[in-house]
Amino acid sequence: MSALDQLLGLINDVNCFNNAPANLRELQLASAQERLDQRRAQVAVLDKRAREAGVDQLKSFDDIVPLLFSHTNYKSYPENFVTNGRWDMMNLWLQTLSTKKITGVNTQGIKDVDQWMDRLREAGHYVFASSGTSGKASFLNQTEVDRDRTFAGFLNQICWQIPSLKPNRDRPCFCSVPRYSPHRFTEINVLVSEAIGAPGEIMFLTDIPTRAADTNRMGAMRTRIADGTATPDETAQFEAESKRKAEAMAESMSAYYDRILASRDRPIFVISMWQYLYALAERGRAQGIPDGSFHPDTAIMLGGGLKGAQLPPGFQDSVLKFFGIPAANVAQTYGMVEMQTPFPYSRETGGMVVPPWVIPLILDKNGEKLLNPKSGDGMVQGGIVEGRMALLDLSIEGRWGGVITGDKVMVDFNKHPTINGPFIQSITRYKDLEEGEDKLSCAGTIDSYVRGSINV
Amino acid sequence: MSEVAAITNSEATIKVPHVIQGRTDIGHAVTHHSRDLGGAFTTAELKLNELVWSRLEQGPAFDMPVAEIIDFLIETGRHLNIKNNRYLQEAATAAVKASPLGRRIVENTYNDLAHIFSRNALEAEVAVIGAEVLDGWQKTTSGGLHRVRAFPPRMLHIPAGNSPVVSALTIARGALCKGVHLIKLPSNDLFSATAILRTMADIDPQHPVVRSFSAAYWRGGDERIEANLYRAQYFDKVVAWGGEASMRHIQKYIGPGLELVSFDPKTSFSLIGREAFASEESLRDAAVRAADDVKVFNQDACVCSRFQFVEGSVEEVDRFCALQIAALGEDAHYGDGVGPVPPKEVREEIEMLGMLEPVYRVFGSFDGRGVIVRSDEPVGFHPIGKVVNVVPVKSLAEGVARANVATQTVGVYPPSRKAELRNALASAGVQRIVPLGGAVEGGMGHPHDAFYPLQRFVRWVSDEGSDEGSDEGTD
Repeated sequence: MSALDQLLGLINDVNCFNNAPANLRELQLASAQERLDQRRAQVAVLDKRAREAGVDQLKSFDDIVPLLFSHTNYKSYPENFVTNGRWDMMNLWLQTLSTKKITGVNTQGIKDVDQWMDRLREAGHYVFASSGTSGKASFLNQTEVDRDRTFAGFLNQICWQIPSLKPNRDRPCFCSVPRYSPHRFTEINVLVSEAIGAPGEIMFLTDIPTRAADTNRMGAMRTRIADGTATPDETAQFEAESKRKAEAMAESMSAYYDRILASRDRPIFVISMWQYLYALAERGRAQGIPDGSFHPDTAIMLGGGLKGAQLPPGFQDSVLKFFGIPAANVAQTYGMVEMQTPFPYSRETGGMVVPPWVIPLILDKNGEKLLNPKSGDGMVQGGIVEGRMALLDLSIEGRWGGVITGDKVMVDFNKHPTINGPFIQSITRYKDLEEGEDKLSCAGTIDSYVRGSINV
Repeated sequence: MSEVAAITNSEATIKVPHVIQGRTDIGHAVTHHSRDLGGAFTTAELKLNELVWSRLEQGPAFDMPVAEIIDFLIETGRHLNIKNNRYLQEAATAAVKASPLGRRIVENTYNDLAHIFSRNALEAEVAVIGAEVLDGWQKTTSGGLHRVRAFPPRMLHIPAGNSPVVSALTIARGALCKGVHLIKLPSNDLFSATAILRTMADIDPQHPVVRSFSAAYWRGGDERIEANLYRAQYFDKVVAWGGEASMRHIQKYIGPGLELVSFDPKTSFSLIGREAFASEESLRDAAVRAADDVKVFNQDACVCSRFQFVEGSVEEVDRFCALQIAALGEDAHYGDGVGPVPPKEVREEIEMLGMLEPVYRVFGSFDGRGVIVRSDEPVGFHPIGKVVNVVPVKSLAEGVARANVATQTVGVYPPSRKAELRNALASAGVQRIVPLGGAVEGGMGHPHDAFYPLQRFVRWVSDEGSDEGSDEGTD
């Protein structure tokens, strides 16, 4: 059994967060080499990168750093491929980031990126989209195996955090994502809620479909405003439409919140994010629902950071007080679309646990230098490090698993007696941090003339 | 005896000097953080009362003839020589840390500051409105009898820090309009403005121009300071150089009596006509000129070209690119042959486009010598770090269509084609049309951001009707 097979076998083990092999770092380095050798033959960009960096043999984790892709790489396609309907070129682009050959995809009559994704799925490429605020969607390829691993890993980390929660399909389940969207979290929420929730009692944030084309349409509108071809009427119409959509979304979210509140006397399962639960608590309190009214067996899984949402200090306590359920029933995760499974939270360590099949690589702000504490052989040991989160997810089959994120993290590399480290202690996005506002340059872009002028 | 901050000494915390009406104030009362300098720096405590000039008093230089101010500025220019001016040496050392420019270019930039303080430049700047109207109340009967004076303003300057030229222009123009001036030091150029002001103070600490300037650092957006200073009671105009965040802060304070004069952040491009392909010489000439406009200030300024629209077939344009990539690797006065590389995200996007040949073609590599991306439509990313996007077009009009309100300079080859393009470019928002390779020229005496700065800086005050019987009434 290869080092890689040994690590991948752990994905199906609910206790993999306690049971990592003693020689984990060695196994990871050997697995990284296995992955690199495989992927170089499949992912042209990776091969080019390895050649240019002169990396053939991974002697330490440092050697992985030049091979990592920025998360923005997955939206590096030229926008005009989409606007001009060059789906053949989009396939070519996706191929450079995919392990499986993209062949036999029927591009006839495709109207937008959502249809393009449908056709790819029909051909066995389970591409998902991630909407950025930039007005350009990212597209990441995955295989059937990736989907299975995501589901298994996701469910296991919930059950590891909340042992009393069993996937018995026996309780109302609330998912704070749209039911229909090309986003990966929708797919995961659907699968997990079907494993935990009772049939017919699975609710979503909204049933209004979200589409990747909407993200790109917003970007296209921005471009038209920038180049001066958008008329005032057009801009006004676009804003009105955005407002209408936002109102419809708000309405269906209110209905969703009310259904959660109405189910509070039963054990329910809620997958959500802080800002949604904060809104829920506010709504509940406004309706006169006292704190602690939820059934004590209710379980909550919180994912994601705040994604730029501004919440008042103490929002976590406020939410938890409203639910009033035992701390053991609250799971938290740190996940991102680029990663196969999210990192679970452990109360004992106060951090998010990195699973064995992920090599955490904490880099400097520029994403160029590895900051992981290390011994002479480049292996990790001891210490707390702050920097940019990057990782090599060894479990990903559809693409190269090495990625640099936009997150600033603080990571505890110290050993814990029963739980595998390292532990991610705090997570913020670089773009939410205060940047040097008085670092002024005469060099600019049209962006600063456009931003803020459309309310979307 | 003035102190020079220990910027070269890594042991000591860097002290950023303030200059208050000619007096240098070095202290460590306040600690700030600078990513550019790689750590903390300190400044003296800000005393807000010292940063304003009372409206009940005339400013120190209000009544000084422009000719004398010009003489003083020329004298200042003589001392702006990096070889023996330790203030400039200190500023240059900091700039090497904070900017993507190498030491050679930084020193060239500092040495060339003296050009701004030359007689030609200063007189050209004044000529736009004339020395007479700056010096006194000029009588006119146009529109009825009145006198008018370009009255000295009270100004707050928020300069850009990517080039010391901005601070030098601020001081030269500020002195010429005779007003009183508070300069907020930008975090990416903490030393240039004070270096020039200290050079002036060393010449004559009591000179009215010296007493008309203060320069200090506070964190942009610090409300305790800005809410109390940015008031019409103290200042007439705020001159702000770009930056969306800084503009957002300032706009809160702009209102009746406090005017915003903005030099917006800009981007620039090049239009290269089919004439370039007339001969090998002309093609080489165009390629070298095109490269000059890209690599100037290592592509970290508003004048730097980022897109080139070239009238030619893909094959012709690829020949142009091949010649240009060689030119980009050569040192220029203001550009490093081996300079910066683009940020990682841009590198990855270019790497990707290189895989999509022949639709895209990438020339060069990420070795600091420059990269050209040839594509049939402009790329979606913003080319920086010696990256230029070359787009073949049938007609330069296709390139003109890419101009917008953020476009500052458009370089044209050959210059004979400027005339046919300038109306359309100006209409789209462009402010400057130059011969290809001439992006960095211009300066004093020219409009900036489509206005004459000195003309905007002064306050045009009128004294109407007859003034018979007064001293001036007899002239």
